[in-house]
Amino acid sequence: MNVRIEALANELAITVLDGVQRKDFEEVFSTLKGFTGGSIKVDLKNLQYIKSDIIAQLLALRRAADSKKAALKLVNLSDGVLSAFETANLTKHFTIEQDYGSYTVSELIELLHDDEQAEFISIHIGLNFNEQYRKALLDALKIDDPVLNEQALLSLGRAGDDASIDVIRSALASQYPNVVCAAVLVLGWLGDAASKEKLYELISSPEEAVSEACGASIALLSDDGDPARLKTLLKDSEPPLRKVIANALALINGGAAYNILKEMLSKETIDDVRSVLVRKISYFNNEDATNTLIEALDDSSRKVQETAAAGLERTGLRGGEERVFKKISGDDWVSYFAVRALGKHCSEKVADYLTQRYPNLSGKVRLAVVEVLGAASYCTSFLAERLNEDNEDIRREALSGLYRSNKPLAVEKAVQLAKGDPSWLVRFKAVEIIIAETPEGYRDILAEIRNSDANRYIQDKIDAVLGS
Amino acid sequence: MKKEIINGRQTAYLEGEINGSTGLAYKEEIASLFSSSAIVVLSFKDVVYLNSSGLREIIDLLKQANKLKVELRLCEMSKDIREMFSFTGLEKVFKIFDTMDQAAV
Repeated sequence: MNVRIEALANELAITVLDGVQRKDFEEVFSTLKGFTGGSIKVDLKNLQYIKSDIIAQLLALRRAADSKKAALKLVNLSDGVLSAFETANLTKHFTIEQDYGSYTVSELIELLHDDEQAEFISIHIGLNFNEQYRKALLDALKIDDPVLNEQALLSLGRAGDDASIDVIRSALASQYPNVVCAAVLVLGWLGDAASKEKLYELISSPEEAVSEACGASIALLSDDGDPARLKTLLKDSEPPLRKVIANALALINGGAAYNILKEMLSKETIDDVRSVLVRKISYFNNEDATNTLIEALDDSSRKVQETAAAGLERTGLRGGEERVFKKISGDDWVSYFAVRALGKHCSEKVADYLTQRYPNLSGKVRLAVVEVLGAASYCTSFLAERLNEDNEDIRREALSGLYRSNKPLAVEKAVQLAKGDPSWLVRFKAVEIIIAETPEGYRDILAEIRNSDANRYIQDKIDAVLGS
Repeated sequence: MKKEIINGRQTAYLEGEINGSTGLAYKEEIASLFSSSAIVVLSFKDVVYLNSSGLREIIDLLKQANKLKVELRLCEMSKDIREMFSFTGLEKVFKIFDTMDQAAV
């Protein structure tokens, strides 16, 4: 018989084997008659494909389970089996799950080769780790198979298996970079400070992934001496290593790490690395970091300016508004990013300043101001005035901001703009608002716009609501 | 630390800066949830800063959870915090979800 049945206290566990026939289900139904438990699990892991008569048996089993008020679930469906259920539109009729608990240890180790499943299997092993799993994973590390070796190491790491530390350390000497990388990360997770010297040797590896992993694990294993030790590596270093060190210092955090990052920023000549340094400085919770970010708004690289603005927007200004205000003058890009830096922290004081300065600002800085003030609830009249500007991007952004801050007024303006604005982008936004808010008589309004507007995108948008 | 039960799952909301000292306090408080739920969800929505000492406490929490066969899930991380988990490879160790709804299923 190609069906194995195991009746547990509250669960009927059915394992379907390769070569299963319709008649094999007779015993399943017979066993089910005397079953009084609450759940039935059918394991299909042994099937690569499934015939229609077996699907019919499963449907019958589901009906029988329903009649006994027992929950039926199908587990471990291969791609072929799942595809058959999807083709027959049957997935909604069954609870379908992955259940690694029904696999043997050796089956699970073999499945670690499967990229899509490896992580879930590893987590399962971590939760159910025992001597049997340890032995199987250590055996897997003896095989010359870099994919399996990597997953075995990561599984030992996920399981937090300190007892395997010597084997994991020895994997640092592997010829395969992916295996070295996994070993480095796992030693960091396990807190193996004794490996730190070796990680300092490997951090200069030409393999960037290995170098990055070493930076991460050194940070996880760090003590007070590591910021200074990392600083010594900067001498004659290449840009990728400087990025790794910046990442490690940001993760270590604290005053010493911050001072080194700030010094690195002052000396760095590569835009890309400076951008990373500025981003990492935004990870520090101190006032000087805010000042450094504000100064970086003046950087010669637009990428660095943008990173600094994003950092300030995220962390807040810590009372640095006045210093940012001073950047809103002269150079357009500095002004633009200074306005963006005010972003989410737009207080009334900031709003007052920006609205007063607005008439003297250039086009793209004005647009940034409208974007920033569009998120504030007390700038309604300012935004409404912007609907009369010549720049279509500003009109559209003002309408979007108005919609966030004052919906009734935005709808009133949207009806006017949808009928008469010269820019289709503004009219399209206006139509979107009308459709979303459905004001009284909106269908007539939309019909009128549909008849008079020649823009195809607007016509399609309205047709989707009214029907063509 | 705010705690609540969602869909029968114990959930806790970390906040502010997670470093060695705050991480240790969080660890003790969260570990007390392991006895009452097979799945514990931690939200990082209000975490602004995290350093390596804080991460070490969270790794330690996972070890405790594994020993007790409790599944620890993390969710609602900002891009920066997620980047730290990615940089250290811990993204591969923890079950991380975008939203509380997904994590507390």
